[in-house]
Amino acid sequence: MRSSVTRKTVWRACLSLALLWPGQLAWSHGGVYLEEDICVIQIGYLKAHFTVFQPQTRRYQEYCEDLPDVTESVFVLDYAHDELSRTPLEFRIIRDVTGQGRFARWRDVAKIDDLDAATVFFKPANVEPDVFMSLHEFDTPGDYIGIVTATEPNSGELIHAVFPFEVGFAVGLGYWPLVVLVLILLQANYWWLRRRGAAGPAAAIAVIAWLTAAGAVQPVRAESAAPLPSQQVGSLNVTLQPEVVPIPMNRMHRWTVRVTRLQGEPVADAVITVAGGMPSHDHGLPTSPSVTHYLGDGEYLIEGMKFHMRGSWEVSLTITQRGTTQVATFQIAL
Amino acid sequence: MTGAETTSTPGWSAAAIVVALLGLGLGAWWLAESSRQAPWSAAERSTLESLWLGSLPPLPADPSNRFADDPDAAALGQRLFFDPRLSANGEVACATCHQPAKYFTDGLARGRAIGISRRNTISLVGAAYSPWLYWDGRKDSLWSQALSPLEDPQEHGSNRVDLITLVHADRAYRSAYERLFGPLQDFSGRIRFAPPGNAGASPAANLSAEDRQLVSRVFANIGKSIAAYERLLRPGVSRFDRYVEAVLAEDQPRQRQLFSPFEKAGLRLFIGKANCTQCHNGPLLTNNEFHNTGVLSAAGQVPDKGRIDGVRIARADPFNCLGTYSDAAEADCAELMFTKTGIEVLGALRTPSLRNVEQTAPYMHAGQLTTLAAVLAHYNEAPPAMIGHNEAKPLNLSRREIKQLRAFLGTLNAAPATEPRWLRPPEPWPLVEVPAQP
Ligand code: HEC
Ligand code: HEC
Repeated sequence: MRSSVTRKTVWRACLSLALLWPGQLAWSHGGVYLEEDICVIQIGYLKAHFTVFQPQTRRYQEYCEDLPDVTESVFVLDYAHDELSRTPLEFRIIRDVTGQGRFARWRDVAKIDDLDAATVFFKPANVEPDVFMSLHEFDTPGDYIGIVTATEPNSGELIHAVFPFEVGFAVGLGYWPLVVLVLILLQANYWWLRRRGAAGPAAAIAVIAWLTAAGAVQPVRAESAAPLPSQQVGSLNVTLQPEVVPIPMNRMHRWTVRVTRLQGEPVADAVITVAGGMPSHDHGLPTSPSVTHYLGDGEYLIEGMKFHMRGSWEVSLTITQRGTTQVATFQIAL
Repeated sequence: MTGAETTSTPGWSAAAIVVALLGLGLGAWWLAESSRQAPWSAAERSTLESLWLGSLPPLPADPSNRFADDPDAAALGQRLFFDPRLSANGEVACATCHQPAKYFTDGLARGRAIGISRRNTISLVGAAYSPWLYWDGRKDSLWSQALSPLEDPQEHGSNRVDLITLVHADRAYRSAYERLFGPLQDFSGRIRFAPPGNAGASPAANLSAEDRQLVSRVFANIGKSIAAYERLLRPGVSRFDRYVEAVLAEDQPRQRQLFSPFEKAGLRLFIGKANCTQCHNGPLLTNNEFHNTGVLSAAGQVPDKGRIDGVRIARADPFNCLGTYSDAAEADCAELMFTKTGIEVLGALRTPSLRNVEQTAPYMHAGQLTTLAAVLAHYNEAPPAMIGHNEAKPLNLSRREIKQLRAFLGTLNAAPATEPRWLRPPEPWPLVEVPAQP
């Protein structure tokens, strides 16, 4: 369920762009520019649209954070402001050695001792009129960080825009086998109903189909997600997990929560409500997410999650079980 | 009796319905076919006339090259064109990539000599009609264009100093040169040249400014001779042109003889629904202008910025129409002074002529598309460009229509209308002597 879109107009969330002025975190409103449906990179007060192509394997498809194939990739920065045509721009791609993955910022990159050792591509600062383009052929899948460094036209200050991305997430046949399987099951269900006039087995098949479908929307790359630490509240252990990694911006998506007793025994009968927001900005979630399904093995599906800006978020789960209520609160840095 | 009647009636009416349907179907088919076969309207005829080779004006003069139409210059130019000594490794001539048998192209995605060119080799037939040369129009005359492959490290890899040394040393070249351009100075006694075979564009760096100008002037004259030769490469009369003649003469039988209904339908699409003449117009089937058609970038290359860079390079070029080595007055350089520039021409490339197009695969500026079918599929899709904006719109042509267009594109072949002696390496010069070394 990664972004792979055909047009600028059908973008899912924005590229994570950390633009940090030296010594100043640009995390308040207006610091980082997020624009629905478009990948935007902001360099000082200058904006550029950011697109990556893999023309040899994906033709005209546009990407801005996760590149499906380990192959030749063309990075294009389309300037929204003419000044960028006269600004020296340097472009570097490093392997993600920050350990921050999705959440890497310039301050993490700045801490790297030997930046050159981690560098897989480097284009020295140069004035690129009209449009900035770079081509790099990746040879290893994994997490990478792109760094665009501009010399601020007036002050001569260096401005860094950092965007973590992943290369090589394409998975085989995608969801087609699943679609086919579900269709076959539905058809079998229909035949069964006609032959037996019985609802039992049909219902069982429907459940299997549903579960398979639910399974298919499990995190594609859960193991490499920056894990939210499990929380211990009262006699319960609570693990919260986004379905899509990296967590998308400005797009509805689902999460799962797993509740077990401290000994590891799954809890099946909890009633869970979801709340949250940005304490530093004094606002809640832009949506009203809720638990919609019990998935088995102590796991519950949360639907309707959405974040509309970057920064520090909180998600709190109120869990009522056997007459007692506990609240688990998770900090999420986007 | 009544029973028999009632059973026979449905049979009859079914048959009647089948016959009626068949008739309707046939009628519809006939109508469709005949509309495709319909005679050309007055408007269509005038469009066809505009594409006809007979409408090609006389070759415009090149005021920047006094020798453009000098037959002696053309003869010298032909020799230079086919001479592999004009290269760093003694193996590359212009004709290595511009092969007469292949309409002066090479059949490769990108030109190949010492290295690999950045783009696809362009046919030279009819090139003299274009105010701009190269896919991005970074040259504004044939003579100025001819200088750049000579010093391009991927192509001839030579340099102007080595080239002048060669012209001076080969007595035949020298006498031909001097008859046209006046005495050729012997630099070799006075100046230490860069070692022969030293590729690169600035070998004259150790010359005085004045000598550097003299060297560049001889270099420009070499270009002007080659240009005089290239001006002889004119397009020939194709089947399409004979067909248009028949259309203009309203000679139906001859039209049918020259064009199949399929080709005619393709031509109708070309000038109509498929909008090709928006850019591929005039008797060379090109407007020689720059358009972004959203062709996918080639493997190993970033998308081509095309004209937006081409204008900058042309304007800064010391060998352009306004430069010292040009013979033109400023007033003759309107193209250079008033050409469109800016973000509108980002990713725009020069519309290529479609004459002989069937014979000059692969296609597009870096040979990205190998067949005409692929080119037509591209136009049918008209995807958004990687950079800038695709000016072409999706066409929604059926498969049959695409085949018709493809068939039409096959009617544009013709051998160049050039005397055969110009189309092969020249006979050995009557007077080839190795000059004595001083
Ligand atoms: C290595 C192959 C190669 C060699 C050698 C070569 N060319 Fe070309 N030629 C090309 C390519 C490739 C292009 C298109 C390049 C571009 O547009 O950037 C081209 C374009 C041209 C054009 C432009 C045609 C048009 O309509 O725009 C002319 C004219 C031309 N070449 C003449 C010459 C001459 C004269 C020589 C010898 C001095 C020469 N070429 C040597 C590959 C070659
Ligand atoms: C908007 C202007 C435009 C329109 C409309 C257009 N073309 Fe083109 N055509 C071009 C340009 C520009 C190129 C070169 C593109 C490139 O190399 O990236 C080209 C290239 C081609 C080529 C490849 C020629 C070669 O030698 O490489 C063919 C064939 C062609 N066009 C046929 C057509 C046909 C058929 C149509 C109508 C369906 C059409 N074109 C419509 C501008 C246009």
